[in-house]
Amino acid sequence: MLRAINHAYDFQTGQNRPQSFWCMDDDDDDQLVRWVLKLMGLASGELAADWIGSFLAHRLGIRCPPIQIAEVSSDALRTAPRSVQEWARPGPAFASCEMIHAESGLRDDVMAERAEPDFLGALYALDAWLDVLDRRVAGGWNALLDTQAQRVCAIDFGKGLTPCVQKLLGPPIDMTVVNEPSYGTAVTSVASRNASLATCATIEGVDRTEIEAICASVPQAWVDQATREKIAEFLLIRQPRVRDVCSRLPTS
Amino acid sequence: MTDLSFFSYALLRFVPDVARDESINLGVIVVSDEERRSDGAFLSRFRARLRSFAPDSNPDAVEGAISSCRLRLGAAYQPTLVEVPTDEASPLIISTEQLRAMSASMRNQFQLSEPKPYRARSLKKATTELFQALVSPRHRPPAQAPRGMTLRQLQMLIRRTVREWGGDVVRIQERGLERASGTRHFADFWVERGSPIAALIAIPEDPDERDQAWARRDSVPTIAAEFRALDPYFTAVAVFPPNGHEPTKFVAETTEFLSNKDGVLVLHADQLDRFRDTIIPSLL
Repeated sequence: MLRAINHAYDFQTGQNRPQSFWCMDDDDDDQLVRWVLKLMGLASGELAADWIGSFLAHRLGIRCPPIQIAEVSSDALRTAPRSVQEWARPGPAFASCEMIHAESGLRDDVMAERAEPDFLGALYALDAWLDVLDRRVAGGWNALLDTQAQRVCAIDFGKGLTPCVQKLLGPPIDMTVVNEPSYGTAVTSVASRNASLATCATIEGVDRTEIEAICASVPQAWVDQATREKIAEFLLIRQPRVRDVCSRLPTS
Repeated sequence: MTDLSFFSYALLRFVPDVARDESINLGVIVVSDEERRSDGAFLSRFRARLRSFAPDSNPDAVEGAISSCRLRLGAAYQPTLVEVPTDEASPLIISTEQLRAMSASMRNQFQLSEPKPYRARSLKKATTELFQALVSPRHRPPAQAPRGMTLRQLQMLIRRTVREWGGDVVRIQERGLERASGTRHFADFWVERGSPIAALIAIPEDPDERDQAWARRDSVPTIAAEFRALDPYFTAVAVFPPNGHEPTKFVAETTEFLSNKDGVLVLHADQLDRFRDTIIPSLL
């Protein structure tokens, strides 16, 4: 199990206020490694969305930092700044391995130039499946550029699965409708349609048992059983519908 | 996990120009309130860094500031030191409060960061961990296993090899989807004679692309099975980078995983011409 030991850095960004912690793995008892933790205390539904989205990204072969669930004790929280202690709660946290050499806030031109067409096509399919709302906001991308390897990594699926994990005002959302991810013209024109459709085939190959197992791996402290079942149904209903959206990508 | 104790630490920084807010971390001071002790570790070779960072700064002044901090840590840190200050004007630092007061008073070229809590097994361990993580120069990570070929490099290599294959008998289609049993499958290259007779799927060896490699590897037996229903001689070929070294664990495992699958062939990119000369004719 991964355990948070000491607070390292407050990124002071994002609705879930990700925090860098030195963590220790029970299997490697003497090695402190920095992980980015999304702690309990704010929107715990987003932790579930992030866990499932990142898990599926790995399953589909989309580049994404390694993820784990980290145990955060009240002692570990005491090493964090007061401003964090005011809202953070001990318990399981969503953890993704910190990319030390990374650039955030990527713009369209960087994404179009640095992210491979296959990567973009595959991510397009996954974002459509999960209904990720904030991959690109005002021309800025929720992704990291590994400044050493010069490769783009997908991060943050917290704004996916929204109808399942968020309480929304207004009429109920039709969960069967799969929308085109808002990638903008520059990036959409680069994304590989073939890679996107190949990812759709992989998505269609993920069976009910596997989806239910992934949803069951979400800690109960984040969302209740009914929500986990709702997420599984959400994914299953939309599974065959992602292809329609991806087939509308321009042929590169 | 052994019990962890709480300590406080602060970083000693050199800030050549406070308005620029750029700094070099010179050392770390760690305090144990419980044991009423402190420890510290400081850079011994900082002059080269200083020269490149702030050429007009005085290295002797930096040396002096470090010495002064060392003195405040007391004899425990410097066993041979005789001039341990014990007067009230500069007491030894043995508590977080003292560290905080010291931090508040240092606001110019030499600054001490606001104390932060830190957990470790011992005072010495905390100092070592913090010095390595926050102060000592970053070293290159230990020599890594040679990086394997990336997916893009491998695809280019395969393309260079197979682009000559097309002719009257077979056609090469690049990075496309083909349909079998109602599902469309992706391959980097399809070898076709009217309909597909083989698919080439590149499997990268770069550890950073392991997720993609696994996803691609898992697709090979499915492609073989589905297209064999249409053509019993169809072959799905998993193509690794050229076989120039001992197979990595990943290549060995993948080869074993795929070797007993019907209609699957595992090749290295430098064996593709042999595939063209010997295998393709038998598929025609």
